[in-house]
Amino acid sequence: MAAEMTVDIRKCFPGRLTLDVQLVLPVAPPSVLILFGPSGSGKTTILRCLAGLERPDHGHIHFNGETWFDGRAGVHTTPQARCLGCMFQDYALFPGKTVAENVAYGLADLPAGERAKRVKETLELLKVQSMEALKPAQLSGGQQQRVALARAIARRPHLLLLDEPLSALDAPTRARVQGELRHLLKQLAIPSVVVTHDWGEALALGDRMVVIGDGQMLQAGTPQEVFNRPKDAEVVRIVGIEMRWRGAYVSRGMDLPQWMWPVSRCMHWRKSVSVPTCSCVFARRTWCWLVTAAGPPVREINCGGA
Amino acid sequence: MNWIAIGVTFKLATLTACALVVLGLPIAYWVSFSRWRWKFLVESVVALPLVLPPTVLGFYILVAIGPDSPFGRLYANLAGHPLPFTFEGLLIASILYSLPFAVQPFAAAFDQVDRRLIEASWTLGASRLRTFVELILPMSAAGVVTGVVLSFAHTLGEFGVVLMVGGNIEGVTRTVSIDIYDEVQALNYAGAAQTAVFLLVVSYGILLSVYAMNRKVGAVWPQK
Repeated sequence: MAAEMTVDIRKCFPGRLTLDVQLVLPVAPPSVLILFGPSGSGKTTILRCLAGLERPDHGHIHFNGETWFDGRAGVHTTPQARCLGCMFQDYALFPGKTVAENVAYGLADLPAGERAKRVKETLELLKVQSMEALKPAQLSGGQQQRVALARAIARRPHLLLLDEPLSALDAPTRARVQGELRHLLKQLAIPSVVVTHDWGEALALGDRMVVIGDGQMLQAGTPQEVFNRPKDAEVVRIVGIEMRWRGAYVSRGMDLPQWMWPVSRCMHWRKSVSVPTCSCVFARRTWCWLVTAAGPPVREINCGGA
Repeated sequence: MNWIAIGVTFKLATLTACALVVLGLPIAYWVSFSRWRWKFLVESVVALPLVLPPTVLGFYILVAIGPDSPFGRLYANLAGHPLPFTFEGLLIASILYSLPFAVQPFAAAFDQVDRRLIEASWTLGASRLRTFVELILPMSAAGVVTGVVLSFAHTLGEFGVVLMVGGNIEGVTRTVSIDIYDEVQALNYAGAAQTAVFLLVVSYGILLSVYAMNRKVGAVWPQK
């Protein structure tokens, strides 16, 4: 069986949203897939469908040869049977239990000795071993995030699902934790799906990225590809490219004309890229609409086509 | 004071409260977590004893457990005697009569439990039963205790249903409230007053304990 997860689901929320998504995530070698989109675009619903907490209307979800959902055959595996590690946006730590009890919660099928050992190992891995006797309310946001991640990975899940893993942290903590999380995900080698609307998080964590808007898949690729070559104006809007520049049509194969250099410096333009082959002028947070001399006054040019 | 009636009453209330834990928790779980569109139909039936006159409820229970009903016939065949005017019949009636007093606090407490915690538990591999026992029940302990105590206290004071279903058999179905009624009918006000004071004090004590337990510290005088 192919070592990958294939998702092809549709779910209709009358009057609000129609979800229609096709995803492929390699399970080996493990990779991190980013679901990127604005609030209400349906990315968390996709994650809930993967977790088995939500039932799609149609389609299928196959994971590494197992069928998790098949609308036609009426198969819907429970969350319990999917062996997942989920980390929720607000962490959902059990308030009445200590850190150690939270982490041990998913290890009920292990013998007591091994369970204690696994809890200790996981807490050490996430550097929260000193807090094992504390309750979640006594922890800072960053510490809660670590404990939630520890709880999710302690049972060695087959798939990690992280919903806005860093959104509850303040900006300096987030910057620090981002790198650590990337390192940890690589170290764990568990295929992961991360939902986010933060481009920094997407670039830092993702191997692959899917942009979701209004429940539809708008673009898929590596985060660099998506941010460097957004497919159309909708993707530009969603990935948060704020500066739109108007340029002039430059003939095929030419380097940038000198008069555009100030603009290009501002946008970190790669000078080697000639305009028609990559017709969107772009750096991380910029986008250019090119104007053709003969055509309509403003034309949106698709990077892929040109 | 009629200690025999007091004994019957406490036995009835204790058994009713125990039965309502066993019956009420699954019903409340279903009421709280079901997404069935017509759930309100069941909720209304559960709440019916709150508004129905006890005589009406008692009448229907009497008919339902009587020897002419299938259930009553089955019981009479098995036990050798019909259900009405026995302690068992009275117990069934009390359970139905006090059902909303247990189910509603239970369900209200379950409603308060954050659904995300429950989903987190499921994704960690915990079955629905384990999630209920380890997570939902401890988090709704106050509501569950309230339900048990209220159904106990409510059974202590029931009158109409007892009269309809249990009759007035000394040592079997004569409860405290029936005893007080009998004393008043016999113009023995002193005896009635003694028992009434006893019931008043016990009921007040039970409610005190419920309200004291559910009291939020600092709700009146904010503490630092």
